[in-house]
Amino acid sequence: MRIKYLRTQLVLVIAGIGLGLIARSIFGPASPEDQNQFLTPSPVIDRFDPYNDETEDLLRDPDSIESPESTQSGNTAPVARHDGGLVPPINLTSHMSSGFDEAHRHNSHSHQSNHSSQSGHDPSSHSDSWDHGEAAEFEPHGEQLCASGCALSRHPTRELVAARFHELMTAYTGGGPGEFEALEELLYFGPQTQRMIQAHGCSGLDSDRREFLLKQLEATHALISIRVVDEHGEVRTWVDATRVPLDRRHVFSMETKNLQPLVTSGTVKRVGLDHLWVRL
Amino acid sequence: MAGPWFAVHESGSDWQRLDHIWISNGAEDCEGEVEIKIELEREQDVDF
Repeated sequence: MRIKYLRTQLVLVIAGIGLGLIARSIFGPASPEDQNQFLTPSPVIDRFDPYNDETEDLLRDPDSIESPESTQSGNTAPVARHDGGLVPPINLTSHMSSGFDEAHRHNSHSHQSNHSSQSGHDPSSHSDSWDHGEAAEFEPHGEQLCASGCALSRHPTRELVAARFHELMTAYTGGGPGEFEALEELLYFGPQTQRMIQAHGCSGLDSDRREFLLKQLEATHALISIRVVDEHGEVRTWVDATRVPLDRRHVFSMETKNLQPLVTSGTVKRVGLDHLWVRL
Repeated sequence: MAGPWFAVHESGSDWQRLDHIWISNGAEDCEGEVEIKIELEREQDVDF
C-alpha cells in the first residue's frame, strides 16, 4: 500500500516536470523584458512621460489645450515640443539630498546654496522656497537632479538651451500666432526660464509681457488636496490642501476613516499657464 | 497599493477623478473614487 502510494507520488512529480518542459519548449523561456514589465511603473511613465523622445507621437499638441483628463494609464499634459534628446541628468552625491526636508520644512536656504555650489547647478533661482505643508515629506526617488531641479526623480525635465529660449522669447514678444504657446513653454521650464532671463535678459519684451512673465515665474508652490470617496459618498481617506513646491516629490500622510494608515506620494509640475501635471 | 496615476489639472478647478478603486480595511470592502484638487499659488494674475 505504501509502495503504491510512493509510486503514485513519483509518477505525478515526473509528469509535472514533463509538462513543464513541454510548455517551455512550446512557449519559450520568459524574456528579461517580460519578467520586468510589471516591476516598475516606468513603462507607463515612459509611455506618457512628456520628456521622453519615444512619446512624441503620444503627446497632445500644445496648440490644443483641452479640458483636463485623467486616467490611470494616461497623461494628457499639454506639454511643449522639444528639440534634442534628453540632457544627461546631473548626478548628485547622496549626502546632498539628506537633510533637505528638515531644512526646508523650516524654510531654510542653507542646503540650497550647498546644493547649487556642489552641483554647479542652481536648482531654483526664484524664491527657492522648498518649504511645504506639514502633511508632506520631501522624498526624492534617486540621486539625479533634472535640469529644472526636479526632486531627484527619474522623470527629468529637458534642458532649456539658449537657442530655444531665444526662440520662445521671440515668439512671446511677437504677439502673433504661437505667442501663448511660447508663454506656456517658458512657464513649463520654470526655473530654467528664470535662469535664462538672468543670463540673457528679457529686454525684447514690452513692459506688460515682461511683468506678466516674471510674475508667473514667481509661482513656486501649489496646494494639493487628495481624497478617496467610497460608494456611499463617505470620504475614507484624505489630505487637506497641502502646500508643496513644484517639481519635487513628496509623500503625503493621509487622514483616514475606518481604514488602515496610508500614504500617497507624488510630484506636481507646472506645464502651462493654468495647468499642472501630477503624478501620484 | 494603488496607482500610479497621471493627470493634468486646471489650477483651481473642482475635484478631479483619477480612478475607481477597491477599498478594504480587512473587514469591510467597498468601491471608491480617487480624486484630486490642485491650485497653483500665485498672486492675483495680470491679464494676459
